[in-house]
Amino acid sequence: MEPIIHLENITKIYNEKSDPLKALDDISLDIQKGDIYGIIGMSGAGKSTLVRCINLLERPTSGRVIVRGKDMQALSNRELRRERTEISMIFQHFNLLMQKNVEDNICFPLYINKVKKADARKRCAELLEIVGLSDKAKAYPSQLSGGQRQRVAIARALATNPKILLCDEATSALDPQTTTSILSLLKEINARYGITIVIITHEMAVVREICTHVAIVDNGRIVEKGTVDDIFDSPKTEEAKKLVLYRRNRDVTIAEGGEGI
Amino acid sequence: MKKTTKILSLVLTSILLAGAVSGCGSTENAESPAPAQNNKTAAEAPAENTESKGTIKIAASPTPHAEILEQAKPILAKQGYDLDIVEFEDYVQPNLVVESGEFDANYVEHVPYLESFNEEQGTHLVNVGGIHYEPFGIYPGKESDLSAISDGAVIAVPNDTTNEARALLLLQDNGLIKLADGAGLTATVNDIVENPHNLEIQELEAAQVSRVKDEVAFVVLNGNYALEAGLSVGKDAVAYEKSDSEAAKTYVNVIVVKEGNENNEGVKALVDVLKSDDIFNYINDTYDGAVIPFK
Amino acid sequence: MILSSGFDWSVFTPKVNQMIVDGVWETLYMTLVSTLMGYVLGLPLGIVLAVTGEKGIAPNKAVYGVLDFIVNITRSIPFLILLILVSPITKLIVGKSYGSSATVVPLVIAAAPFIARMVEGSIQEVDKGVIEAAQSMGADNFTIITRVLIVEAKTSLIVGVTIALGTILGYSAMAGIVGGGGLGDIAIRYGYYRYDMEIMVVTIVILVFLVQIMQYIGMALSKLTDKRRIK
Repeated sequence: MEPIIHLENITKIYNEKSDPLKALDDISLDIQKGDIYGIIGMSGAGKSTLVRCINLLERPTSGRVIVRGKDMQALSNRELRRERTEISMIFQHFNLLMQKNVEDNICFPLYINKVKKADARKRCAELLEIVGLSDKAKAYPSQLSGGQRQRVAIARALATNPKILLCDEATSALDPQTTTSILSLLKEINARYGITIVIITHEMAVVREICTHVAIVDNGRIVEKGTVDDIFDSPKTEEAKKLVLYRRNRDVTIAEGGEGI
Repeated sequence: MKKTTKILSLVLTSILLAGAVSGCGSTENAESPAPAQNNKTAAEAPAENTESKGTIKIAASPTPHAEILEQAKPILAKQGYDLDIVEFEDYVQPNLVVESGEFDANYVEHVPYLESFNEEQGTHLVNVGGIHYEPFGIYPGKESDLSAISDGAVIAVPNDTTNEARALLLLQDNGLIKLADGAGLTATVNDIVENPHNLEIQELEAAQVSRVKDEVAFVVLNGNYALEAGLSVGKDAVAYEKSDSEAAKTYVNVIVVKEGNENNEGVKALVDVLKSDDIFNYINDTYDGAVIPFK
Repeated sequence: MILSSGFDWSVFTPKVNQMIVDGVWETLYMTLVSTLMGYVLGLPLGIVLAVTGEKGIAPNKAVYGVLDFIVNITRSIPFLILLILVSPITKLIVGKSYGSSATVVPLVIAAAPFIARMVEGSIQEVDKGVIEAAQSMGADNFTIITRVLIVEAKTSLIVGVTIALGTILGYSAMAGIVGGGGLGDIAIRYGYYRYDMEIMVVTIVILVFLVQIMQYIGMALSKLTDKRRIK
């Protein structure tokens, strides 16, 4: 089956002229429809750059990005913007419009897609129902907790019925309990709507909790990839072992802290 | 570029000075003669039998004051006085250096300024003789006949204290308006009590007045700004301050010394020379009406 | 020293009172109209600066370089000089080179680049993450400018308006040079030149009052519209 996301020999070099920095080094990755794909690595490993190459918020220096069968780099700006409505994204710091209330935030992608206001409001109500914040439509982000804000961000991301959801450290700013609830929400969304989810994280617990597949990124390269079960059971490379082992120890402490995995 | 810079600096200087000073402007500061050297003069002085009676050190504005003094210098040299002229661009230092005794006299200001300076600074400076005045003139703008001025016409005048008052007094002398009794040297538009032609008096920064010439009926300018605008009192003004007018008597530029030195021989000789026909003729011939000798 | 000589109310003749009342209107007229026009020019200019800047959403060295240069040049010229330099333009636009309306032209020219810089600063403060989020939703730059940048910078922009009003009101004190009138001019000419302490004190008190009101309204508005903090 053709993968929904196909990354081929992706290399990204910053400051090519003055002080070159290779963020991504010849990365190839296939993600199938319906996967919950974890990309894990230490901070600075290049995973945030990698995920932004999928929706071209970052343009790779070389390599090919094929999403939903389309050669992303070949699209015009207008086509790219259209395609981005199929690839939603949520962020570590939620990135909500702080001057707008929850409803306006969720309706924003619908406004971009020229959805009529009344229809947008209706869709917003549905989404709030899904994320369990029906009573917060008129609240401002500053009045919400971190977990609630991420729920708003997820509702916003789902507004346009995307096929792919990119999560950039979406739970890193949250406490363990909230992390769990957000992860189960993502899991539910994946199961209910068949949305492919790509999760960037530095927390092995997150991968273990919901991912079907995982790629370990180190120094801009993928050192190992496969199903979560395979990698955890028999890590092959040093980096994978280190990460799995290190994370295992840490997971224990997190679990003891009440994460309840 | 160079010209622009010069215009800019002129404009700026004018604006800065106009507030504090009246009537004692300069036209070409940059090119005015440098203060003469003491020794040189002594050496050049006729070596006849005139015995040296000492040096008269005088602070002066560059134009026309220092220029006039340069004419007096050889005459005084014949009488045995060495006139040492030092130019000042401002109007405060010349008074302070005379008060302190560093200079014997100055030639920069008119009586009202001198009096207010004495009052504010507590100095003891006195007027020993009026030499010249720089007459205000009414210059034509959109209209040229004062006697047929249209109703509601706009007349631009300078907006700083003395210049405005002088302009208003000149308008009054020409029967255009009437000022409240005693308004005198500090008159403002608020002191106008009769305005038969319903004139609109537009107050502007002194340097700006000439620039609106084409937009208003008449402009009232003091000498140096008229010169800068290329206007001549003699040829262009439809009216100007006569030498017997109140304004001329008031705004005559005077020689100033410290109290007690009024009868100093050197000072007397200086004033006598400056009031001589030689100097009068020089002033009349040189300044084309923009500077008028005071009798 | 002058204060000790006592406050002489008799200088406030009907004519002087009328002059002060006119001055209030002239000051308000010059300040408000110039600020408004200043924003008509300065707001788009500031947005373009922020957008085309190195860290903007559409970096463009050429456009930014030219605008940045123009803004710097204009901001470096002392207002006094500007007032006189632009008088031919003033005459072209307003029809005459003296009076309150004539002052508006140089005020706008002085204010627009200054406003542009403040707008640029306000927009640069907007969280890059929110911009990225909008981009990830497929928003075009125009939508990002109108629906993200301006919206999120709202509070800072309103504070900027308050600062601009105060600054332009200060500039307007020099309006007297071209016969623009206003309270600042009265304070300078009657208070400073003529030592009319009473008139100076009254006009300055009114000026302070005006600035305070503007400041108060501006700050209240910015607080009222700021949803970033929990109330």
